[in-house]
Amino acid sequence: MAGFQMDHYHMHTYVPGQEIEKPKTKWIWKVFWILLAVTTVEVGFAFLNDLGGGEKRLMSAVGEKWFFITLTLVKAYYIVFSFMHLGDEKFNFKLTVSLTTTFLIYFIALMMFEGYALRDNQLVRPDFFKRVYHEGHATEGHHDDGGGKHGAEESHH
Amino acid sequence: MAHTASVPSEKGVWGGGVAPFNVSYGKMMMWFFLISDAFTFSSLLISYGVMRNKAENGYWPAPDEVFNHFPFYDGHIKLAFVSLMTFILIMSSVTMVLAVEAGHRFDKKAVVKWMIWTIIGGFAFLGSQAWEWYHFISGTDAGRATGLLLADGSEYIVHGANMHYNEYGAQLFANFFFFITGFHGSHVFSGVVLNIIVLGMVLRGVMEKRGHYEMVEKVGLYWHFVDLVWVFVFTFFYLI
Repeated sequence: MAGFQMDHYHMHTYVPGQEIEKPKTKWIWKVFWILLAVTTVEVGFAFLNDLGGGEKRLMSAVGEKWFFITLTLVKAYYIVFSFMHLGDEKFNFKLTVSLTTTFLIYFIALMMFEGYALRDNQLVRPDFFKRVYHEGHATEGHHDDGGGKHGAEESHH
Repeated sequence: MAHTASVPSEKGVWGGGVAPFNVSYGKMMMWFFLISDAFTFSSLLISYGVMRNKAENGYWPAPDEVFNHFPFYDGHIKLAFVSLMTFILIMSSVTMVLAVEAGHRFDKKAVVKWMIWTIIGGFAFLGSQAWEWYHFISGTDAGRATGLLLADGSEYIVHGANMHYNEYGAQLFANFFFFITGFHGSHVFSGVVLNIIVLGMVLRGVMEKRGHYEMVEKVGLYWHFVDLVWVFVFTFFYLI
């Protein structure tokens, strides 16, 4: 029977009454221990970094985030390439899947940099909106042209 | 019959034919669905991260102080219960790979055994999540004073969180929590349902009639993806 003759890992067609091979599960448990170890490191680090009540930290809050994100990407690699067998697929298929998801690394960088930029940027302070939209015009202390324009528009109404 | 004359093209991966990239149609479509689903989850988690980084320090609740309960234990240990949930899901992922591996060897008994363990793991995770939600919704006994007075002159105290108020701090935190973990939980639930359906097919001997256990592999892909998403939820929601 011709059947699917794929590479070493893929399906071979079932022949009724054929002998069942012995399981080969060593690699599965190896990946399991790696995932467990990385998770333990993450949780352990979260505990250690907070021991001093936030004063004596092993790593800054931002550094800690990058640390956790990196370890998570390591876990994701093992799940996708081992458990989901992406590592056993053809090179071009590996590219098809993984190149698409590299966008996510860019998004994660955006999340960190843009998120902090939004926090530190004066423009998004609540009192800015209050000043412009509640009082109807921009008053003292504004230092950007955008706010001034909005204020001017408001006052025409 | 569907499985005759399947000669894969050896000429090149772009040639089409029976199985481009040597991946069957169903499996490839499952991969493409998972990629799109990955982007859905990523957009949720990344928007969470942006709002979390944007929030002033102290205003955003520290997740490890919110979710610090553990069953049958009165004290507070941070991260313990979520770590347990992570362990349950990784473990059920392992049993799923074992089921797929057994399928490659046409070991029906082992497939059934490992799929049942996977389903049990899925239900255990869903139960844990329900427990976690219950504690988040009901909140602490002390609650948080709002400074508002009720009709009888007593102060209005908020307990727990929902879509309208959050005892622990930022309202967005509660909304993101319910949406992201709820969306993930619904994925787990549909994964369990798919596992049960495929287990039924295995038991009826459908896979042997087809000549392969690829259906187990496909549902396995989905299940690992659910585990993968949880790994990210764990990091982005509870650790960061």
